[in-house]
Amino acid sequence: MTLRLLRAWIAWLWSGWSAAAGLALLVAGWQLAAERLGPLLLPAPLDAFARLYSLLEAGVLWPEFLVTARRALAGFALALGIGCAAGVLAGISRAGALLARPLVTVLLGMPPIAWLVLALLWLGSGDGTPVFTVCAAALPVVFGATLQGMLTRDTALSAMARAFGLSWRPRVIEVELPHLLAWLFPAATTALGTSWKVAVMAELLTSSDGIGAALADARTQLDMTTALAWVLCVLLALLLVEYGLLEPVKRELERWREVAR
Amino acid sequence: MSLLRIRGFGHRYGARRALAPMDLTLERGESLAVLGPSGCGKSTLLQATAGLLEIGEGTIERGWQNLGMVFQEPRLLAWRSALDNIALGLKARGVRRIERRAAATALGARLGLSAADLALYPAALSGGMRSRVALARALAIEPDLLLLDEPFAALDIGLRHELEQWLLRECLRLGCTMLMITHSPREALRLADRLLVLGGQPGRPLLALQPALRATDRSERDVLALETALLADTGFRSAFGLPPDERVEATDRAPETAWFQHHCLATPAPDRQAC
Repeated sequence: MTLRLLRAWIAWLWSGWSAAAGLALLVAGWQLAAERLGPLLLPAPLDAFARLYSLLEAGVLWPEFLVTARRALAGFALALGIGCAAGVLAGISRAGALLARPLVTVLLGMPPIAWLVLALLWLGSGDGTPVFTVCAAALPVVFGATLQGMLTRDTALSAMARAFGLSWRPRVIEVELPHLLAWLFPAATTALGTSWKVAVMAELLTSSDGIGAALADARTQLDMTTALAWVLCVLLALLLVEYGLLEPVKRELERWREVAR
Repeated sequence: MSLLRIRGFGHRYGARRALAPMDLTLERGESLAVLGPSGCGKSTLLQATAGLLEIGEGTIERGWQNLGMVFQEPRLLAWRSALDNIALGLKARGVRRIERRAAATALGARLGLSAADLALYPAALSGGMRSRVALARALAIEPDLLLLDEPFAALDIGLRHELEQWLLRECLRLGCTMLMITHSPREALRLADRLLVLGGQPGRPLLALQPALRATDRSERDVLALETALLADTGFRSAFGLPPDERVEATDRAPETAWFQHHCLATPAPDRQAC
């Protein structure tokens, strides 16, 4: 399994040339815009990358990055745990699903900035506020997907498994879990992206450390190059996690789906 | 002791009664086909036997150790290879991975599935191959009772015949007892020693038929002759709501006496004379 995952990962990286070409086009567009607008409004990509490198060399980048990563991942893990458990519970009973559906709509519609204001009042300016805000923003996505997965379970397959004498545990592993994962994985990917974005936003408005706080500093000093360097840092981390880890794992887990297409 | 003994089993879905209380006994090594029109409670009977339905009325005595079942649709796990699907029942019985894969490969080969076919996911298999996998999954556990829910209804006549013959041979080899439900008299006559016809609303047993030859001893010619006789039977026609066939009645009246031991159990409706 590990070897197969590694092979799939390498194959996936090799097939990433088209994605790299797309990114190169984006950078080219940025360069063109920078040449027209001037360095005060939009610094050139090379300058931003150079600043990112100098931040790394100065030892500023890692600590701030790790603080943000800690908050984003803690909030995401909480959302994943609570969202999955609540989704499964709500999906077990029809009444639970009926009660939970409007809740998902309300939670999805609630802007993260509103959570942020509430969290700031409740939890102050420590780690609690960004972690809570990230969790509140990612939770409905995970919860909604898990609930939907539970509601669309294939009862015919469960009956087949029961007829063949599969007891409770293997039935969950063989029949229910793969179906649930197919719903959960895309939602978790979206939720992880949201977690990063919301963590940076929460830090920008409430914290004194982390990438968001560094961005706020750059803004007050009108330092566009540093601000873009931090944005690049967030984007690179997102790209790395999404395309370097999540996408190959998803492809491997859902190989059976590829055949059908 | 009988392998299956059903006493006074009936079933309701909400307020609607699907099956009137009925009795049924199946001895070891026997094969019984339950025929009847849609909605007569055939599937209810099969699901209750498989333990997939809560029994509210009557009793079902289960004398078997190992139950295999083939459903109308293959019901394969889309995320498992054909081989792992075949081995599913063995896994449930705690057979070691290497042994269950070997058994599944051997059974797959007997059904014409190569190692390359067995490595594929169900989505990459043709309809016929999926049916083979579903059949192999049921027989991999060497069941003493095999339940079949119209398993070959979606297959072309060639493939259907091939799988029916294979199933007959395997069942004979394993000595398994078979309870199948079907719409098709021909399928019932190819596979089953005895036939039970359900009909009416709610469904209840109307006819019990026992051809002279056992299923394994019948030639295709016997099957066709029996089918003709069965389709001419007034009780059988009445169970399916078919009008009496005047031509048949004029030429081959009462063919059942020549071919079947024929027991009329009930009339489908008060205004119809079944027997």
